[in-house]
Amino acid sequence: MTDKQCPLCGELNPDDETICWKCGSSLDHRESVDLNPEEHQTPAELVDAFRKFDLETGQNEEVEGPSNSFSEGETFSPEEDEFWLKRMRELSLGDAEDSEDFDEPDHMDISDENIPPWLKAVDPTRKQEPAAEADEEWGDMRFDTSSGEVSRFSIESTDDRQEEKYAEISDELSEDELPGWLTRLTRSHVSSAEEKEEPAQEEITPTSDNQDWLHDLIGAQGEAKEKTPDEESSILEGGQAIQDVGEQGEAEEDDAFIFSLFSEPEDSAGGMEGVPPSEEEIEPGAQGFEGFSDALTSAKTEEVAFSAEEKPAADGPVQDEDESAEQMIDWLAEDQPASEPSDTETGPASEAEADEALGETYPEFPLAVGEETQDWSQVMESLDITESAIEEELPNWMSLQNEIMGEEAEISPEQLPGGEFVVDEAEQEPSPEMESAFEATMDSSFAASEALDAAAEAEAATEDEKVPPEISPDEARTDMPFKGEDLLAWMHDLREEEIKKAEGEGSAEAPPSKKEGIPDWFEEEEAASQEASEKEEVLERGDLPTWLSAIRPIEAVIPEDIKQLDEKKVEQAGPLAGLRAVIPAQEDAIHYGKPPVYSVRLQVSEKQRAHAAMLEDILDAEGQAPAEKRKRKTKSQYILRLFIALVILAAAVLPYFDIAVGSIPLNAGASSRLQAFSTTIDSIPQGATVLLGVDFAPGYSGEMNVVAGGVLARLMSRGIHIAVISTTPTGPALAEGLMDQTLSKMPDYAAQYAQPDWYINLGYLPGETASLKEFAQQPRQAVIYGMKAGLSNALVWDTAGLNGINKISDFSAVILVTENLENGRAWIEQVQPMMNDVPLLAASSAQSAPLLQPYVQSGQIQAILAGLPEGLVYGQQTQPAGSQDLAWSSYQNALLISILVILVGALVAGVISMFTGSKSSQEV
Amino acid sequence: MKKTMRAPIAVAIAIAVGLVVLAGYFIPWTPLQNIQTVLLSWGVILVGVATLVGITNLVIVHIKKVGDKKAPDRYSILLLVVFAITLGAGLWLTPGDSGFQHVVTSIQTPIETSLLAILTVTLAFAALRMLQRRKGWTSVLFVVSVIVFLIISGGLVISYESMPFVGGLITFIRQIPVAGARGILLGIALGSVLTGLRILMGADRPYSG
Repeated sequence: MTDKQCPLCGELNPDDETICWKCGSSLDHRESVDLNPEEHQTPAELVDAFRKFDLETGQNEEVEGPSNSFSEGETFSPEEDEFWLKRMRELSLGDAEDSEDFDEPDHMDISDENIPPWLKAVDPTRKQEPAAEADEEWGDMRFDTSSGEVSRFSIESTDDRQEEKYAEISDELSEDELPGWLTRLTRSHVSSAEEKEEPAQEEITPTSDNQDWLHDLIGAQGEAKEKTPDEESSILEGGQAIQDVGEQGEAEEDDAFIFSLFSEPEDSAGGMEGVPPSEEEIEPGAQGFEGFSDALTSAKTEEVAFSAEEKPAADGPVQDEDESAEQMIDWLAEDQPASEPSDTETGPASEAEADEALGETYPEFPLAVGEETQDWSQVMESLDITESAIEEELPNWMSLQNEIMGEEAEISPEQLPGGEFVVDEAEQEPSPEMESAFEATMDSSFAASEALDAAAEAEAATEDEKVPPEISPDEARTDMPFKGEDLLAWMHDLREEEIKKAEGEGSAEAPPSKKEGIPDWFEEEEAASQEASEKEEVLERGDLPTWLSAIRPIEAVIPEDIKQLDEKKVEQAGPLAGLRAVIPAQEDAIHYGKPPVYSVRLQVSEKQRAHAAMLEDILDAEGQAPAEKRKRKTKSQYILRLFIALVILAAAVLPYFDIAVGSIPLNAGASSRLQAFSTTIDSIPQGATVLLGVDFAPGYSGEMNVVAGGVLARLMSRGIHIAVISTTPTGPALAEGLMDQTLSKMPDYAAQYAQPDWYINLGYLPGETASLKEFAQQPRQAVIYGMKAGLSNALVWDTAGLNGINKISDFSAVILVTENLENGRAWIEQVQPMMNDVPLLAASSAQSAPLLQPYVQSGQIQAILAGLPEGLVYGQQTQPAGSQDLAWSSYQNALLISILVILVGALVAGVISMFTGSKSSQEV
Repeated sequence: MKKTMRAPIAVAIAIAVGLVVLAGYFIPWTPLQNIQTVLLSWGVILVGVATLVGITNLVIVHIKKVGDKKAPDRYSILLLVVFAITLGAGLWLTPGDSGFQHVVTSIQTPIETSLLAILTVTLAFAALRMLQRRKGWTSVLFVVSVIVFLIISGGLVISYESMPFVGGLITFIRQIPVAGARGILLGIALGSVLTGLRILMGADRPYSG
């Protein structure tokens, strides 16, 4: 929430506030002001009218005035001027529209009708001096409520207009209309207007014309008080400032006079003429008038004199002229806050006291250096200005003001807000009640202001001391008006009260003013003064700073309850009987209670239960094998696989039905490998014994029977003894079948090799590799009985074919018939090293031929006969033709069909994959 | 004897015997070779006994399967029956009886031969779908190699081996598998040596010592 800045004093206010807490001006008032008093029904409205003057521009305009009063380019600041005073001035000026520098709002209605005659008559410029002298008078002050500045407009350019205005005023006003005292005052001012010596001041200083009267006033009190040079200079400076203003502007003596009267902040009694606006209507310009007002108020002669004469009567008795003068002095006295109008003597003592009081509290009235101050009372006396005269000569507009303010009776100017500065002409002498009330009010204001000063000094002197009490805006408003920032706070209070009265919030009690002609604001001020006095006694406790609260004794923060609690308990027995706040020894010490029982049960939360159940499920699932997901095989795969099988089978079987007989010839010109094997076999002498190792699986018997059969046929044809041994359990049986198949093809040799001397089956050697080693080292010990020995206990080595065979190297050759690498490697590794020069031959299948080829190349195997084709070719040499053709055809057909199936299937699959892959890529 | 005691003894025996047998291969010392021969004989006997143990274990397992109440295996009964018959016949007829040999050859040989035939069809079918399953140059190379070697090793071009250029080409192509075989053999040899050393060092204990 952003703060609002007061247009009058510039102080920041909360956003929800409508009235400045400092000066009491309206924060939102931007309306135009109609200064026609007749249109306003209440003084508050009139004051509003004054305050609303010229709110649009928001800037002070420089007023061309006396050169010695304002430095060029400077304008009034809100603190230096009072808006209402400016308004008054404008009223006196009448029509200011013709002014070139002064932009008067249209709503301004400063007509001659509104200017009282006496005011017009006061203006010495109009009466006695030509218009040129008006330059020395007060210039037109223009107060801008938006910016809070008071500007001076050029008077020189409006001299003609002002002169006419003044002339009009003066013409209107006759000697009879003007109050006598006022007339005499103006004359005195004119006489002293020549003496001027003003240094450049920012404050308003009287003009040359009015300075005289001012100087007279000041000089009247100069004997009473010996001012210090500073004070004198300040006073003189103030006076010079005023003079400068008057020189530059119109410098109406009447305005200056009125202005000076209204600017007395301390003492509300004995006010001069004029309708001071209420507090809330005072624009910042009024605040800006602080310096000037302070300067004016420091003019003790003026205040004292006028106070003595013009102090309003609240409830006090009616006083004569002397008494009033004394009262004026009294309320001007600074050190006499609640002074009673008892001192009627206006001697130098009282005046001196008053001067001292004023001098200590308020700055000196800026007068020109050298100017002597005069006793105000003396001046007043010299002028024969009596209160009654003043009251009688109250101008009509003043009385009109009284009507506006809603007074039943005609309110004297003193009764008006700020009426202490009003010189009531037509009013009767101020009643004692009024005077007392006024004094009380002023005293309270004095007291409040002093309290503020004291507080400020205390705060500035020591930071460790107690925080000075904060003064609320209300309190500030009750301070002496025209005192620094609280210039017109009291006016705000008065305005609020007026508003309340207008709304019908009138109190039951008839205000004394109504009864006795005392304005309400007197009572209000009295009450405010009482409150201020009370508050002075009991300063509000402000917020302690952090550092101060830290060192604050503990007793200050101990709550009362605790204190009371401790205090209530009084020891009844024992040596401490009767004492308070004693630590109980026995009451609370012995207290037996049941020990707490702790539950043994495991406290498990729901979350833990869930986790435990989850872990249990996981553990249970460990023992169960997951169900396998069966892949659904398509039927097309079964069909295709069956087709392939049938095709291959047909290709293999058909040659036996003389269908699709293979046309590829089996070249007799065998390869070198075949020739080497053939050569080796042929090198075996006849009648030798050859060891045939039969180590192939029954599943390979079809191929191996063809390959091994040819070798057996060759050996049989050469008349070589054949000993068969096997390291596989089925080997001896397979060897028997091989022998029978070969003999079936060679029936001539069937009878010979049916004998156990030509074909010896040594049986099965268990232990695979180890047995071969043993057999290789000691064959007679490795094999004792043959496979056909049976239960006869005939030794196999006793046959004729194995005569002279004691070790492996006694055989003429070793022919290994195997289809796998392991068996062949075992024979090669275990037997071949023991064979010395005995050739080791191998008849293998096509799948193991490449694996045994290295052994052939290394010389461990002398020759190798690998695969069906080589076997068939080798068999053609020994076996009769025809039998191999069917085998070759079947093999050839099956092989070709297999090759064809693989080739075609691969091509088709590749093409299909190409199309499917392109589709998938397109989809992506 | 405790397991803790058997373990080092078995290992020691295994290592000693292995070292002696190995030494007999390299040291031509007759006594050593005689010991080697003796140890090898014992090993042969142990292998025979292990075969009997295996057969016995096989029978026992199948007997248990037959006697299982939850999931009895009917094929185990057949096995046991056939085993019994074969055992009885063998003991009665002796392995040298041609009739008993015909039983073996007439049953064992067709069964295994049929399995090889099924393998042939399966391999042909797998080669046929290889390009469809695995796309790439390796699949194409495999199919091509299969066809080439089926042709060359199948003897379909054996008539052309005598030709000067074709024969040399065929011979060259035949040497390609031999090169691969050599690699395989070397690997096997090295593996065998390493395995033997591990046993001799006691690292491997296939005898569960």
